[in-house]
Amino acid sequence: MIVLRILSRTKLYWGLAIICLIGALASPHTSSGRNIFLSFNNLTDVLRQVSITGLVATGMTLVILLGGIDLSVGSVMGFSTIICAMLLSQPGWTPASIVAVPAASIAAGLGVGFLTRFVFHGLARGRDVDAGRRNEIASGPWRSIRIPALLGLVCGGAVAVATASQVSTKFGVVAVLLVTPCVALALGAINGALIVAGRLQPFIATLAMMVSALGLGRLTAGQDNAVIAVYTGTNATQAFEVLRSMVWGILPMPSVFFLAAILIFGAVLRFTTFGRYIYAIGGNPEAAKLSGIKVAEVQLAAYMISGLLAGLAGVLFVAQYRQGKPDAGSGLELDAIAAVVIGGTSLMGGRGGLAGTFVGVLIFGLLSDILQLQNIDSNVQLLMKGLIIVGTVLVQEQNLGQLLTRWRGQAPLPPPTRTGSVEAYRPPSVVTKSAAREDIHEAS
Amino acid sequence: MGMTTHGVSIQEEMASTVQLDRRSSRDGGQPSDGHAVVLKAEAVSKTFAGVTALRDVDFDLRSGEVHALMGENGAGKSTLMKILAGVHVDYDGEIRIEDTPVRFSGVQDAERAGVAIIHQELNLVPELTAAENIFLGREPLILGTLVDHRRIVKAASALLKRLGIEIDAQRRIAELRIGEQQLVEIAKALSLDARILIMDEPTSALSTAECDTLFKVVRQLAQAGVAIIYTSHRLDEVLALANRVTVLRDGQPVLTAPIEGLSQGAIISAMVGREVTLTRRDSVARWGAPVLSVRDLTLDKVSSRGWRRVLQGVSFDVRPGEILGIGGLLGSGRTEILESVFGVARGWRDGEIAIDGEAVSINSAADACRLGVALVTEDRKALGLHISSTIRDNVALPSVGAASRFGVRGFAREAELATEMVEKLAVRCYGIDQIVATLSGGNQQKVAIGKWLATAPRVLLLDEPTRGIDVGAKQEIYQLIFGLAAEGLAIVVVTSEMPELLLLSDRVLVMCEGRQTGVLSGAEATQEAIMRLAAPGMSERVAP
Amino acid sequence: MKRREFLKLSAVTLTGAVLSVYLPAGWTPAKAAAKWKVGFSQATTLEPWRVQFNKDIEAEAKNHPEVELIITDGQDKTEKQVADVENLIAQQVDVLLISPKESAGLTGVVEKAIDAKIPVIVLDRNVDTKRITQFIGGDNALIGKAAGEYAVKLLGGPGKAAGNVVEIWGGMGTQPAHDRHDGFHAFTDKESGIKYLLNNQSGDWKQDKAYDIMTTALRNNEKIDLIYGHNDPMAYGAYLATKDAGRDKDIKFILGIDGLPDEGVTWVHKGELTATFLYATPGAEGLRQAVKLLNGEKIEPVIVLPTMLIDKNNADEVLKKNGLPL
Repeated sequence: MIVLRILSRTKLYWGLAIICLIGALASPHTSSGRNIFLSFNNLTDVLRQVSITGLVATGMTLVILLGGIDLSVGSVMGFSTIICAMLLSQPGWTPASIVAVPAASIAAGLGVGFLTRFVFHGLARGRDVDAGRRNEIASGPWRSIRIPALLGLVCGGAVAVATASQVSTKFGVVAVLLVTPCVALALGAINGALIVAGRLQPFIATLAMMVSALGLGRLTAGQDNAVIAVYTGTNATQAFEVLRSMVWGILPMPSVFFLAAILIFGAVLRFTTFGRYIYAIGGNPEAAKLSGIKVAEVQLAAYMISGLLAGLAGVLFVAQYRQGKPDAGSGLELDAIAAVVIGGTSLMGGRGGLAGTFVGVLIFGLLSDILQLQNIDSNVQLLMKGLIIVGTVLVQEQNLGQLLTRWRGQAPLPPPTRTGSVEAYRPPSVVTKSAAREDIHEAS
Repeated sequence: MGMTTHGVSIQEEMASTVQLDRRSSRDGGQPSDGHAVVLKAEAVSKTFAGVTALRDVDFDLRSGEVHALMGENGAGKSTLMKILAGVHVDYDGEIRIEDTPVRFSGVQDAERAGVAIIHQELNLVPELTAAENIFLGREPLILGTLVDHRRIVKAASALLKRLGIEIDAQRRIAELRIGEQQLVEIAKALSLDARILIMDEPTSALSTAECDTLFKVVRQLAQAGVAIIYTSHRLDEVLALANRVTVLRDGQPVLTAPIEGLSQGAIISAMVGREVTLTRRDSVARWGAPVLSVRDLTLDKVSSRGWRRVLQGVSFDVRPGEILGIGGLLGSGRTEILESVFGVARGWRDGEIAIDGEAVSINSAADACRLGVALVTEDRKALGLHISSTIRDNVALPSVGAASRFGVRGFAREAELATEMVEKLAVRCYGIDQIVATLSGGNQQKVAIGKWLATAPRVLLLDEPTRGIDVGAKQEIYQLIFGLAAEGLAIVVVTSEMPELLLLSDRVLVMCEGRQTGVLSGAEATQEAIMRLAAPGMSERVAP
Repeated sequence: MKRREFLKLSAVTLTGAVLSVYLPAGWTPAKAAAKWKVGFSQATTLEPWRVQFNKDIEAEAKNHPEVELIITDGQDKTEKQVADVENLIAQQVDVLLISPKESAGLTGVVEKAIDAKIPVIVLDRNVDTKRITQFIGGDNALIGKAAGEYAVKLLGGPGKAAGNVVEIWGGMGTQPAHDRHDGFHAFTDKESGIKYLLNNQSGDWKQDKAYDIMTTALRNNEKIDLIYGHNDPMAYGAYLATKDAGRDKDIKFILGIDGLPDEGVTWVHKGELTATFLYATPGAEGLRQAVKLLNGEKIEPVIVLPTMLIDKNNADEVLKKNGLPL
């Protein structure tokens, strides 16, 4: 039925709507009768709370769409909180600054280099393919390697000088906002290098980074510190408070970052060649490679972005909770993956998008909020979250039509074939009329 | 010779048959009339979601005969075979086995009645060994619980040996070539002691040697009284092997006749419903300077036993407008040549490649694409296309960069390219937003070719371009290839089907065990000459 | 081939670079002249209180040059801590000090040490066997009671106390959290005017989790009088939440436990926390007792470290004593 199909496709948003409804109905009220769940403070709080997970989930979406996974985001985020807190509160060449300055320059260099490559990729093409091709071959090395490398080096050098000069004093807000994500980007680049050049499985490589980053974080913090406290106004610049403030009185600052990330990377996925390559690689890596896509570069870039966003999340964490600690992000990677999966992105890669992640993150946040408002035991909350994940994924993996067909008791579907050519038998229920004609040509 | 009873297994029967040679197989020793009718289908019809696949089909099968079932894709062959084998349980009409009406409730039911089917899509588990696959679901048990591996291996090895299949029963399916996998699948069906065997395109992935093994097995089975229904797109096989032919068109039988007296042309006409000719194109004389030059191409691959030399000293030129065919046995390195030129060969590569006379280094598909070299791979469903994406996405993929501006995709240009290709290649679809998986094999191949044509290549490399495509569509592809060559593309074709190789190529480069054994052109390029150059063991080889 | 070499080279350089930055900082060679080996298995170093714990025991070790102190870090995992203890047993330490992550999981390996004739002194949290030589720790139940008594006093006195209380638990699987909870309630449950707003919300000893819990609590409830956090970082996190919500003036009292000079006491001094209760780290005392034991003296089976109320009256003294700026 058409209605079912529309329902199917928008089921994520329905899920969100249902949760909002439940929240509003079940919400406690203030003494003046106002609905707490729907109150402005509550909703902005939820938005603020989900922003950190949401930033990480955005990067995670890119990586999962590619067919990979990034288990290290939690530890990288924790490491970033240490770097950020130390840079803010301790002047001079602390372990944090020793790590941060070179990492920032390398990351900046890499980032700019990659950006140049992707943006100016098709420059020598256009309508006249042959002329474009001759131009390509002639300008090849220059355009694709030397210019990006040069720009990268220049940028990296500039960043190195800028950050080194800041080291003697404590870092300011903007500096920390720029440097910390770069450090995390460098870690993400290591992930990418291991996966691309070392041909390691993403699971393994990022698992190794997860453990290492935790250790790195604790080493950087030093023996004497479990956490690094940040007191704005006393040991850190007062301006850092801006990262906790409300923008225009409506949006919490962290959520501005989150929304910006969703919009920017959503556009990238939809409108750029880079985004197209991500979907192609996720859908079928071999075919993508054979179609002339530089799979290695796209993968490297995706892991770098994942790291970058984890670093940004770390800075926002420090702003909110006034401390940096190595295990700040423990469990964050799983929350991010859960949000991405709830949002409809397939773990196999190639299907899904950021709209889903956005809704998934919100669903998770609102759910936690509702449970908290109901004063439900922490442990029961964890259990319920697990059930929700299973429930949403079940509903997603089959579209509604198939689910209902099964329950109505029709014949079981034949198992899919495995080796050899895949001229598979497709059950009538998922094939539309006109497609069925092609299907018949195939099946017979 | 009558039917064997179930007390005596087919294998034991076969152990005592005589080797038959190809030419005299048609008479198989016994005339096909005078045999009991072992299966009869009357007025069988089936519809799928409102579309009629079979309409009032009458079909009969005699014991000991090889009955070929032919028709274009969509004509109803697969449906009929699946009904007979118990895969489809819902149909109109009646089926009788030895005059008893039957209606199977499933494949196991059919197997119990002695009807076994070997599907085109292989039903093997890649991670298990050949022996384990053969006895999957019917494993002999020790004490009723533990699987008796030794008995499995012994029985499987014996079976494979008796069938003359030289495959180690303990090798994992994943390590075998497609051709070998198919032979294992056949052995599996045979171990079921069927008296009616249905084979759906068994030779589509087999090399010539493997085909010969298969034919031997089929003839032995026919001798033993097994009735065989056989489908193939290779007409020469059918003519050599079958006793009778039934041609289906649009769900109805249009021709049922003994094989004697039927010509290829007659069969094809019956299938397609119109007159068809298969001619080689006129040889084209003037071509100009070579666009692709390969010198001394060498490729080493890593295997479990160390480095293995896969290609040695391959050199050739291709000119614009020329079609170079590469012939040779399976495993002789033909695909590796294409992969090397395209930059995706796995292993250590050496040698020079030049485009338009200038030496270039091609180390990735991206490089090749940039330089105007395109490769349409053998396995279009897994490697050549994103099967669950739309036509538009597939066709535009290699050109996304070219159609973009400062990194932003040019959606309009991509759609334009897709529409152009669909028109130019006459892809039968209801729009560029159709999912490729729902297209027929021939149309999928056209999309795969179109994807590369959209990049305006200078050199087009085709690996088995008509695999799994029916006769009508094959014709279209051939015309397409000729057309592209006429437009000035340099084309290199690798194909295992001799008639296709002879039809398409202006020159034929023959490979044998990684070495180039000869380049034949014009009249010299005959089947015998190619086979001779392709066969291993002839020591006097001179590489041109 | 080339790729493998490249990877190896880069792995080695990277490791070398990392180590060269970090190693000189915290690595000292073992002392050769030590007479005794004392092994200390710490549960984790991810909490400030435990960092202080380690610092105290290391400082004490400097006073005893004849003792070689080996500290292991269980990284908050029972299995790791068990492995650490087995390692120390293999190194044949003369005394084993241990602060277990949890009782049940560590009992087995403690008994193994005792069977290997190594005396065991358990610090801070106990294990389930009576064969240990000594237990040193604060009495969490006692501290909880002290906190409860104090809270009742703040809210109006025994019999008349009234107010809304938010209690933020420590890790729910740990004995100290339960003791602090039970002790507190022993006093406050007697007062009918005291209402508890939250139901078993755990901050897991962490500042950021307590912050989030408090934020919701603030949203839900208009009137909150007292906040009781099972440790100082959580109490401080709750304070930050109230400050961010602009309601820090409404909350009358915030209580924590730990009393570390550079944290809890500082916050009390600044007026951010109302009071905290000292939960002394048993590290230094533990080492002293170990030395006594090695010298052949008899030591008591249980030493309970006293607690102390630190509020704005005595916060300054504590800071001065520890050399911290006021």
